[in-house]
Amino acid sequence: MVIEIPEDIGVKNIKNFYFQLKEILKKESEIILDFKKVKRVDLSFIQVIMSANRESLKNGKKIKLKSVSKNIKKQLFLSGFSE
Amino acid sequence: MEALEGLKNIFASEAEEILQNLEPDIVRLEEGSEPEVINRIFRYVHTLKGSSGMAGLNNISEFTHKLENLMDGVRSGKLQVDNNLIEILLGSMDWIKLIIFGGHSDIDPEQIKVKLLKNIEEFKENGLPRKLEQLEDIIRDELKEKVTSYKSEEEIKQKYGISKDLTKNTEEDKNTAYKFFRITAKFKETIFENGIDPLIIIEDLASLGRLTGRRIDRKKLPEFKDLDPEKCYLNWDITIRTKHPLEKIEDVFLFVKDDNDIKIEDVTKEYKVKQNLEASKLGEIMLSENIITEDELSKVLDTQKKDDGKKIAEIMVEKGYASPEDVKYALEEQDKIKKKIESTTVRVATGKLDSLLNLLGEIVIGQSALSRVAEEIGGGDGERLKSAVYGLERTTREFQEQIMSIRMIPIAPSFERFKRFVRDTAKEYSKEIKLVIDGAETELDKTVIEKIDDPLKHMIRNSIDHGIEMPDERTKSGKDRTGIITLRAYHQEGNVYIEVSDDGRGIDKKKLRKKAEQIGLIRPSDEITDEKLYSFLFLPGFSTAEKVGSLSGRGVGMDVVKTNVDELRGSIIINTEQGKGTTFIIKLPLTLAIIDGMLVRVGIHTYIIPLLSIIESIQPEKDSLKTVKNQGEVLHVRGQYVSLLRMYKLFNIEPEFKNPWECLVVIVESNGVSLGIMVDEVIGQQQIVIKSMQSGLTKSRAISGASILGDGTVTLIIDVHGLISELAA
Repeated sequence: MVIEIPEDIGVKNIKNFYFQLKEILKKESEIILDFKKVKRVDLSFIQVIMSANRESLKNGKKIKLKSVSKNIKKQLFLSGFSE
Repeated sequence: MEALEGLKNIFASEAEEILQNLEPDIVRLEEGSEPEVINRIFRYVHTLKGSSGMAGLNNISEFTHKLENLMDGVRSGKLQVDNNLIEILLGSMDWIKLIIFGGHSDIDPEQIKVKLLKNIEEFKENGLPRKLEQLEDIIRDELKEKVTSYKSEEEIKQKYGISKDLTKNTEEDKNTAYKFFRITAKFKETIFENGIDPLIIIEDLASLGRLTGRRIDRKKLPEFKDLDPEKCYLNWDITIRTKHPLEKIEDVFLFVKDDNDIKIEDVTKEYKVKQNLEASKLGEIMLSENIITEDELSKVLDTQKKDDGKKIAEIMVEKGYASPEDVKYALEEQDKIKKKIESTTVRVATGKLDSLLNLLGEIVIGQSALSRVAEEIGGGDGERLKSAVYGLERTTREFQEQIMSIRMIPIAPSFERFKRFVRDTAKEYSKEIKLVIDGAETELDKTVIEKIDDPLKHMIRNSIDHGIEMPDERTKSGKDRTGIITLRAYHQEGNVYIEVSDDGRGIDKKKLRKKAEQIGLIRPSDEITDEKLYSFLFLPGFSTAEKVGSLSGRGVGMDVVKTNVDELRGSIIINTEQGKGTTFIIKLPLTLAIIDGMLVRVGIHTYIIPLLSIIESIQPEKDSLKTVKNQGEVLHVRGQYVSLLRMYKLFNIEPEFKNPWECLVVIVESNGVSLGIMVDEVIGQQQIVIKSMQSGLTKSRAISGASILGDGTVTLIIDVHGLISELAA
């Protein structure tokens, strides 16, 4: 299942995103997070996908990232999501 | 002769470390030929070759030379990674281990070597070339790591089309005006509420230079279900190389430094030593001293490759790139750097650390004696002595923490070793299994890591054999063909947790119960909890497996798990869901030698209850006591019933008080079960040095060990988990 990350994702709307992802994770074995609309993210968002990724790995599920910009890749690196 | 033996010992210890890292990397290579993994394997093999040669172990040195050539072929793209290569590499590791550490082999090690060398040669002749894009990745990776890249920037750009940025660092590194700062940033959980995003701060910091070290502490990040997305859980430990002054770095944290824990340290000196370590190769020293150019070094290395055995220094002089004096100077510099590096780290035998810890234990006992003397003296002198002892206690505690931190090592190598184990055993059972590792950075006491190895192996073996289904069976039940076994470690509330979970078929409770009934552990009419039912799995000889496999099913193994975990004062919980998988959760104490304990008195006897297990101490009201059928005496504490234990009955001693409302009740907890322990007096809190008791002295699980108090009396330490389990049994 593909989830399109909203352009304005951040701490203001992170709760909604978290609950949405939580529900989807219960049902789906593979989730694709599509970043095509997003130019940058914040730490609250990265923490959510980091924890979700850990959870999914534990349960044999997969979370994939799609259309990740260079800037977001750098953000993911700096926050320890990617090496 | 003695010197050579010494070198061999050093090599054996170095090789052990290398092999520990190498094996998981080879398994990783099988999962996907990541360029950095290939480079890392090459470097490990290269180090093994060099070190074994220095130790006079020509057999290993010659063998690893061939292996290095093979890996060079893989690295340069002439050869492709396939199963044959993995088998050769793993086989080679086994052979090296056999030669260095000994062990049993049905085949003569010399024959194994001959076969491996033949396979290496055959692979070199027949192995397929690597795809071009993978080749470029490897070269990019090499450039980033600056390990073997000596090609000129222009040449690299022309040949591989790599941007200038990647090569820029080599030039920058020569500039000594750079400073290194280490920043540890621990942000408050509520920081988002102030409209601050720590990531922006870290991005600002990164824009000031190049990050040479980056560790993100994710320990506080909760499980997904428990996550509060509006809280900040991550902390950073970053080292940055920059030309900016300290003030500029401090400015980045200007608005957060007062409310958050931010530490900025100038570590330039420390890093210069590291830089020197990187530059300790003769060629690089000459390069950094501007004796030769990069192009010249590149040509020298090419010549050395063609004319194997010729020394770099000789070639440089022959080609006229450097004078014999230059070479002499560079060699002296290399020697100085080596000496400096050697003096910055010391390898210490763990036995010495153990002795240090034992001695510290004696100091703690001595301290308790001093405290007691201070009490006895009383008055002004007593107070002064007490205050001096208090100061000493603080230092001792810090001392203990320091020693413990030296003994604490990441669990990563131990976890990584299982990659090979899972790979080999899964193959043996024709199953497809992937091992996922989480929390490998978690640090544990070295002794705990050593003792936990066997239990983990048994549990993983159990998951492979009984847990994970055959690939076709998994597909039929809608699962991925590849089963997942996850090894996870984390710290929580003063304990270390290690989880082994699989996404297999889970434990069949009906089958388990049937087996327990068959061997008379329970009657068909008995009602028992899941926890009790699963505990049968840890009984010696208990197995529900229909077939005895080479791996498990003999009922031997899981009891070893329980025994070893018990020895470490730990506990195991099993969570399982049929069709979905099983998780074994091992809970272990952080330290093994010293604990914080509460001294309690019953009659004339003193006992120690570990502080971590204590919830509270209360003096119960008379009407809060009840007697419940099959449960004995219970205490009503704030809306909950807690079983009451009369300690004097358990140890068959004479107490001061027999009525619960006259004495104190210490409420303890283990694995979610609470218990009220009746004592005459709570004496106070103290650091306790655990002394193990001879086996056979007591069979009671309620006692975990003994300790010597300040006045020399021996006191028993209550094992709360064991006590609760014993009472429940």
